[in-house]
Amino acid sequence: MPKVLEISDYSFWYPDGTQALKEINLEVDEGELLTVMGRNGAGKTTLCLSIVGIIPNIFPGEIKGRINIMGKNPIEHYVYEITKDIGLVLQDPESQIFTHSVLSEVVFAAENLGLPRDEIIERANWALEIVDLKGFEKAHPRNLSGGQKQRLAIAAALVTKPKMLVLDEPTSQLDPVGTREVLATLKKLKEEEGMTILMTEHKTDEIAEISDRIVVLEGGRIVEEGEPAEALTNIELLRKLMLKPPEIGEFYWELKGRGVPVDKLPVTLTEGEDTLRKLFEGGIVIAKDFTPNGRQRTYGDIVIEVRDVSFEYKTQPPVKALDNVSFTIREGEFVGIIGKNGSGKTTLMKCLVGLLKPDTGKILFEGEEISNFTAKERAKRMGLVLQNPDTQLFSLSASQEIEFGLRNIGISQEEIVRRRDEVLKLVGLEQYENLHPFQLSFGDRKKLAVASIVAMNPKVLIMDEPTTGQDHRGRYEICDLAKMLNKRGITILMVTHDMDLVAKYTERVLVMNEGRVIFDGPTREAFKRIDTLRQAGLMPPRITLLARSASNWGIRQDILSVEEFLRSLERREVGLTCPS
Amino acid sequence: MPILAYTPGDSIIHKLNPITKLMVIVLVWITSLVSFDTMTFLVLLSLLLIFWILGKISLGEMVTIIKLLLLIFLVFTIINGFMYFRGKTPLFYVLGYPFTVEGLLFGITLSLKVLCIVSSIPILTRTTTISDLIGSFAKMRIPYTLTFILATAINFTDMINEIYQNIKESQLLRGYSIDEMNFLKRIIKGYAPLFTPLILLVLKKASTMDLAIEARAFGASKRRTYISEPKFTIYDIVFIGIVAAVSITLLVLNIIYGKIMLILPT
Repeated sequence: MPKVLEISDYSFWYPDGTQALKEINLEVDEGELLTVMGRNGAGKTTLCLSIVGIIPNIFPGEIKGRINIMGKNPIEHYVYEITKDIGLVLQDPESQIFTHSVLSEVVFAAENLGLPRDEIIERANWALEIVDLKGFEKAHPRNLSGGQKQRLAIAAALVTKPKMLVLDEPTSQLDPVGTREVLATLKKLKEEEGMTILMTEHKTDEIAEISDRIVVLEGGRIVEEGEPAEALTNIELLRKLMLKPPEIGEFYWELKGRGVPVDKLPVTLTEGEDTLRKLFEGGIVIAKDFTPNGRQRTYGDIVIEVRDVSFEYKTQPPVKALDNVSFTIREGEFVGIIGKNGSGKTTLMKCLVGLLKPDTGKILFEGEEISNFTAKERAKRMGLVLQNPDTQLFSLSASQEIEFGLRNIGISQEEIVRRRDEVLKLVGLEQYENLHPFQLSFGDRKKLAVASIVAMNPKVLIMDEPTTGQDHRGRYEICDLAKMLNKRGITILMVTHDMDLVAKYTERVLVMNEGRVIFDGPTREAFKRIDTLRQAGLMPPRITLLARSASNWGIRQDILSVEEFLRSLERREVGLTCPS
Repeated sequence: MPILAYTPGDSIIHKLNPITKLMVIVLVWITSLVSFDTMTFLVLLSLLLIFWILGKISLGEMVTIIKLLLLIFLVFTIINGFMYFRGKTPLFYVLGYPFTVEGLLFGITLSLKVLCIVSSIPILTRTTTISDLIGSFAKMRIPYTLTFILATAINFTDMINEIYQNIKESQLLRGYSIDEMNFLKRIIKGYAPLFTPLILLVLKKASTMDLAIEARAFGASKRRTYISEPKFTIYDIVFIGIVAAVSITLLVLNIIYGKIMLILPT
């Protein structure tokens, strides 16, 4: 198989001396789909930018070793000479789209290359067809969904007819629908167009299903390489590196560890279902009586009451974002608000904290209408942590950042100092109190943003997509923080599309679709209703789906985690030891 | 909705060649700039109003434009009311200084002049896509780097506005409301919590955008292709004909009757 990319002994140092890549040796075959995993800061982006020559041609630094991309060494060429053959797609769909219509975005690179007009139009049609955006030519990119924007970025890279695509975390900003759309597009490109693809990605469950090969980076070095069935079942390594093992792989790895004979550890759902069927049919495992821990506790009084709230954005044409929404939240609850982008989640949150005023209906906080409160009074009662922490950080140090809100709501100096120290400790940033917020990692900046809200002592804390842009470790850290705050009595509302986190942390979910609440009830109940979730563009975690496939053998349909599934199985001869 | 942004549509004005619309604007500007005659401006405004209606641009936006410019109009009228050198018919006195009828009329005329100039712009911007505009600029041999900067700046303004709104919201969530501050407090320290993150975020976005532009072969070829090829049709000729006829007539009349029509009672 001809090689499209050969990287030999490649190391890279940024001008400040940080070594981002260490002796990388990597080859990519024509038509291969290679996924590079690794936590934030492992060197994934540096690798992508080095391949297309943006490093070191635009971002300089010191290099050792060599990259050979289709016979060219990127160092010796202009970036456009490389990107003619290698399309680059970046993480944030917003900032890589810069024209005013879908068509002009797609043709941009081809126009720049000075290709004949007819050929450009032909190529644009082809590219839009592949990414399934035909008919959107005249639309403004601003009006597209996240998944559509990212597919547009792919089309814009395809128009030069590259031999290879390099994608840097193409789905990290997307909801489950967007993620599926983008990954399906990549699969199609590989299968139908024979495209060679290298992408960096965190979502292991999805990667397992489309990748030919996985490379794991840690501290700039390749620490694991192999087919998904090998690399993604090296559970010990993935756990050690704080990467998320695919649930199916993790489940079988645990089973094997408990003495159940599994030859080849499956990583995809289909493989998992096959293996499970064989295990049951062969009588190797049987279902065991298992009652999951009740998640519901007794809660306090009603803190928030939403009554028939509707809201419409007065755009052209107007968009109805909330349609007769009603629910109540009790003190001490941990509620997940789930749904695809555009289902009304963020609008609802903004109405709750008074950033938007509903057209009709009422929102009561402890019986009083929130529209009667001033901004300061609201801030003392309800806190909302927005998605991007960088929209609020402006102080010269982490501690000043926390003091800012406290001063605004008129807290005494003594109390400010006390609360500041308390919350810094709470989120584990006490050693960084004097650092400039932008010197912190993205995950820590997020924690700082949470801390600055929590310091104001709100009764209810709302988190809007707290896990977007974070790696596996960051996602769990922020959710653990929410859990801890919840235990201290703060009511938590978490808006998210991370289904495994919803399954793990929340007690109740509101499922939203097209501005309505289409389900409101216990989390376990929600994951039983696959049709409702599908309607909302969501899917239960893979492990729940695997468990459902074994319902004929007596497995519960509402399994929420690998651990629960393990506890509901018994090995015939020996009897499985239950994990604690 | 930004009053200058393109709105999709298929009106006659939408179908005109951008160069035609650009020429209409230039003609209106020249006429408005050289003239000081109320009638001239009223004729021009009526013409523009017809174009607005033909282009299906909401007349409510004319009201928005007037509202935005109201402060300037007031300043013009007040200054001229008191200071106009030909002013001799006092309307009222403030601290002994007369506010004259001539000054008032001059101020109004000046305001109409500005209104003509401003309200001609949407005829181009609201009905023309940026790619068509860039395509036309290319035909006029304006360098692509310049037009690209212009086009990107237009898009960037929207983005900056969006980021600014997000920042304002996040600070509001910490009890910080710039809208509730008085003017002095706002100027002295009000904007730091808003502008600091804004600058940092915009720089970050700009740097990613720079990557995306580089990765998409910007500047690769000396002869760039433009897929947008606006053509001239009979409508273009008719439109330019009408506007040119009106403008030239007005200019000639202004020159002939200049002194008589320049301003009311001299």
